[in-house]
Amino acid sequence: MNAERQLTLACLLIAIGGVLLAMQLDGDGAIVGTGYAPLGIGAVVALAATLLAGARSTTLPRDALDVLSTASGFLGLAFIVAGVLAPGGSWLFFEVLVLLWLLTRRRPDEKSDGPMLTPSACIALALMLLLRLWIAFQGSENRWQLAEISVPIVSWIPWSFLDPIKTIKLGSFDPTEMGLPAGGMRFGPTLALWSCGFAAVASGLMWRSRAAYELENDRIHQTIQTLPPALARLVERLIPEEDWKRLGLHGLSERMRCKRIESLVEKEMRARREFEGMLKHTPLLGPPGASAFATEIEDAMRRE
Amino acid sequence: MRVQAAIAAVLFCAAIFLRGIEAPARVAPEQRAERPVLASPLQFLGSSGSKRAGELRELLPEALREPWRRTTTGLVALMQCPNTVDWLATPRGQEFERTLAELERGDATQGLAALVMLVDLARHTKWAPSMFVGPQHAERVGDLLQTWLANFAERSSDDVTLHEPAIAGALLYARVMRAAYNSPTFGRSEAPYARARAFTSELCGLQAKTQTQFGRGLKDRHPSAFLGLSTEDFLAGADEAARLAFPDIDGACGK
Repeated sequence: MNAERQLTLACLLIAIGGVLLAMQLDGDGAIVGTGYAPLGIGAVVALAATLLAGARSTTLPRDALDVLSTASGFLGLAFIVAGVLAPGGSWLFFEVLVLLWLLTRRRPDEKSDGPMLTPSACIALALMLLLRLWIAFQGSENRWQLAEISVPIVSWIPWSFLDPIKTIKLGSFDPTEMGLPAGGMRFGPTLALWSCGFAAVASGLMWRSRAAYELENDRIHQTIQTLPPALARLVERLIPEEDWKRLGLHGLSERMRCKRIESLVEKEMRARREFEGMLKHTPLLGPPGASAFATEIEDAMRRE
Repeated sequence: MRVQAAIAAVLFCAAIFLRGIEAPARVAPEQRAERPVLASPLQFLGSSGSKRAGELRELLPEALREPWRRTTTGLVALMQCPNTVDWLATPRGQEFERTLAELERGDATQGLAALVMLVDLARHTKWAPSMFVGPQHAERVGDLLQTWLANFAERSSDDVTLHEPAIAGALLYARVMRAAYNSPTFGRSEAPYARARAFTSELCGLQAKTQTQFGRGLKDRHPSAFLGLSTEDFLAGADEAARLAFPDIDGACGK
């Protein structure tokens, strides 16, 4: 399967996940939307993550598929964040901060541009989804707190005036905060919808990153292959595929890509010629009795 | 591949559009333009409901009019405050039970007439437990109300005449059963409460996949009473609401 098809399928997977995360089943079994407010917060997080992670990026979408891929990346991130965020309160604030940090954190050798769904971000999102599902379950059972702990001894005494201090409620919330449908929620089918949606969007985002990387490499390869075969092989030797992203060849238009390859080949050849000249005119023999380190280096140079 | 990309674009639009779908607004029967057979049916359950008894009697079947009039006027005219079980054992009490059973086989108007009888029974007989009187009287009133609710509660949800009275009947049931629960001077009587828990759970669909129509009606009208059904002292909220709905019914004829 070529990179273009992979990218399209990844976008399709993200879109399907987005549809599943947009729905919940109310008490009557009717489909009810999950609302625009969570999507708004998700979009803000996705935008901030995109801006922070892609601040140094120079890539632009170059065709319809690139536009679809970029839009899918942004919307997928917005959908998945909206799907896992706690409905409101102080948890929401902390979750947003944690997600921003996780989504913008990236290694220097990262392959893809823009916000990435790294394994650690994926685990954090899955944990947040579990919290969200637990809250939804509690709400569907008409319990409006995360947990209720019975106070030992006091809770065993059958006097009703002690009722207010018999239990401690942790993390209270209300139905409005929850965004629950007025007719209640069918937890089972909604759980299935949200879990499948989360899995689809998360895997779609990770697949999209890899497919987009491969697609850019394919484009560069195609440009190089327009050269005579022997010359193309030499150019690919000079500029190895692993370095294409680092050397700024991704996300360029056809003309800019050619110009960039020309300048890289010229720079690379100049460096090699300079090195060969230096090698020719530099006496490699050191003074007798040099260290083992100097001897090893000298041997390596001679072999070359 | 273009087709897949187009499908993806359409699905993205659908994912955004679907989020805006709202549940259809629920319209309670009393919010509909349809007029009830009897205007303001809740008035029949009030302390001055006897003033409108004639309107209700006219709508009953011929054979039930006179027994219904006798039992309701008989209850209102009680000078003493007899214990419920004791009064039900009298000839007038037996006629009350026979008439009630007949009315409970009928339509919404007859259901309302039956509920009026039960509310009058709770108002004019003594069922409140005390140090020397057990919960048997409260449990008897509760049993009669439970039978009525089992017959009429769910179908009242779509009935303009019976919707509000049925909810008021459920609140009264909660009040009576909670009194039975709290009857022992020390500790609590668990049996009636367990029975009431099972019944209200079924009535409102608390354990089922979906709430019943009646449960939703109760939730819309008395949210705290409904939410209280999931707590340990599950009738406390409904009891509180019943005290406001029927301030004159205290289980001791208001004396």
